[in-house]
Amino acid sequence: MRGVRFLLCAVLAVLVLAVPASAQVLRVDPAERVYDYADLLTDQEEAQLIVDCHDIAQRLQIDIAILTLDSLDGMSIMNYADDFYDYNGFGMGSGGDGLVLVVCMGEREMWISTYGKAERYLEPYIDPILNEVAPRFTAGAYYGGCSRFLQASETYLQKGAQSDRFTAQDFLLALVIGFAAAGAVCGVMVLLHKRSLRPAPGAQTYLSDSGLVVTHRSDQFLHTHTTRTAIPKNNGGSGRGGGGGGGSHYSSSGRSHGGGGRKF
Amino acid sequence: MDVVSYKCPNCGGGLSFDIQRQDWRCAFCGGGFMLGDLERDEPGSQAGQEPDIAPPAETYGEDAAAFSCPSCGGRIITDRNTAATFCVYCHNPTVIASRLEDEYRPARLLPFKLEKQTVVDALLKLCRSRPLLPGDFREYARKGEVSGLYVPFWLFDSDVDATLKATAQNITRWGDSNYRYTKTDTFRVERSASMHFAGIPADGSAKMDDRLMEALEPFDYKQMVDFSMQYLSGHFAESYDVDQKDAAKRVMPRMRSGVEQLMRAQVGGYTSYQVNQLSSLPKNTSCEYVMLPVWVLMTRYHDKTYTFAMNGQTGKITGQLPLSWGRFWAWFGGVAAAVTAVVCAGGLLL
Repeated sequence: MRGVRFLLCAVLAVLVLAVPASAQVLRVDPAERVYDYADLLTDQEEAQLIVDCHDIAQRLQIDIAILTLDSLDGMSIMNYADDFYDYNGFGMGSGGDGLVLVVCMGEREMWISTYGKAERYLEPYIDPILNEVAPRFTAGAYYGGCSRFLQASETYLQKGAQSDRFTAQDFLLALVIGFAAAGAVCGVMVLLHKRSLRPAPGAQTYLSDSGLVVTHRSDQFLHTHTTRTAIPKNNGGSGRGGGGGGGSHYSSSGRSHGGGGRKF
Repeated sequence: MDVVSYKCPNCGGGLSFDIQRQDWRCAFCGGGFMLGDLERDEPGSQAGQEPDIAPPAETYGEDAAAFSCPSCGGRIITDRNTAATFCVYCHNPTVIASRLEDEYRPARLLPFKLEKQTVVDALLKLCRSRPLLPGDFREYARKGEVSGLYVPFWLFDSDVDATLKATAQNITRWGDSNYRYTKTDTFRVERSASMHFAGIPADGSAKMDDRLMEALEPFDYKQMVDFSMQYLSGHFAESYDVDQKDAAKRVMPRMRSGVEQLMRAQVGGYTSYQVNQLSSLPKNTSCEYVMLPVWVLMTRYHDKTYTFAMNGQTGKITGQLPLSWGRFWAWFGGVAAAVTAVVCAGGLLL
């Protein structure tokens, strides 16, 4: 009984300690979609972005949000963006599809965190989006950068959705693979079938018991020759200055996120 | 002595070689006799029934000859090389002695060890787990016509002196932090060996498919006996129509490739080697004419005759089974559809 109570306490303690620890991100109402804590936008601009976000989310059924803030409280921006998305319950449809742009003024860093369909559709397009947005932030055009982010995201999401669709070409490819596999399988089957008539054993079978007597055996060393090739040096580290990798990774909630970001 | 039928000393019925008991049995009275009993019945001996002997053959065109059955006098028409057969009228086993004389007399013979009924079982076993075999072929296999045939074989013995000259390399690789090193030591390798091959067989019957006969190998020659015509009684037999020289043309390349493999195995211990020269010189080649037991099963399936041959000593069966294209395309379509479906499903989920 005492053991059980102890276990319960331990579990509770872990829960109490763990939840706030991983939920240090700001808690917001996911329906608003634009959260300008760094105060980079005028009220009018903010209202416009909220309307745009809603429009895109309705059209594509993919959630889209923007967060600006001054400090990350010591978290990496990638984790912050992922947690912000996860713990505030962003995402639409059964897949929780959506993406969020986090702009941190303290670190002068931005990050796009994608999830579900958004992760899949935008995987190849994170860099092009960042390329369009980052220079505007660098120049201080925050509203311009944000609206650019929305436009670019919508364009690329549509593009990604297009290529994600299963096309006739994909079917043709599957058919080719199917035929190749069938050809291989049936080819092997025919070969096995024909093995009912196997070729004769080699004449070695008829070597008599006295066998083979080696009468002469020589191994004469002729020459030696040594070559050496230089091992190519690995210069270590990729040279993208302000860039942040991204790609698929797991957030603290255990979900897989995509995305990427960079300094501005 | 031209055509011989061996008769039961008790009742005069035809005698056949009995595989299970390895003696001679009378089909009528069931009497069993040893080789010695039969030999005593050769003409001139007093005891028992004399073998019936018919007058010499009359020629019958190019490829056939006709004999009179020593038992019933009916006309037996045979191929040029038939050495033992049955009379079509009285079904008595008949041995054509004139085709087993002089250079056509085999030195030794390997009597049948496996009985007729094992052939169909062996063939059905061969048919097992073959998805491309037509489903109804097993029925035809059961109904196939089985005949036991002593096939003429040439057994070649030969001493071979062989020399192999090769260039061989030993390659060692190592590396340090800056370089990878490859050291190649080159050697000149020579090997000479003498070896003895015994009993490489080549069938001496043009009628028999060489591939089929080679696939039946090996036979265990230890069970061979000195040739007696009596063994042929009750089975079919052929005398050779491919002579020693032509048979050697098939055996020599086979021996050479065997020699090559044996010599290559002598190189050993190198990373790689290239053979520059391989000479093999057969000497003291000798050749023995023997008869080996083969069960032949023929079956007609969809206007095509399928021939299977079973080693009458070991039971190894061989032959080309028919292939059902319907089954082939069913499998092809099935696999293609399944794989396509799986790939599509995978593509949709991703």
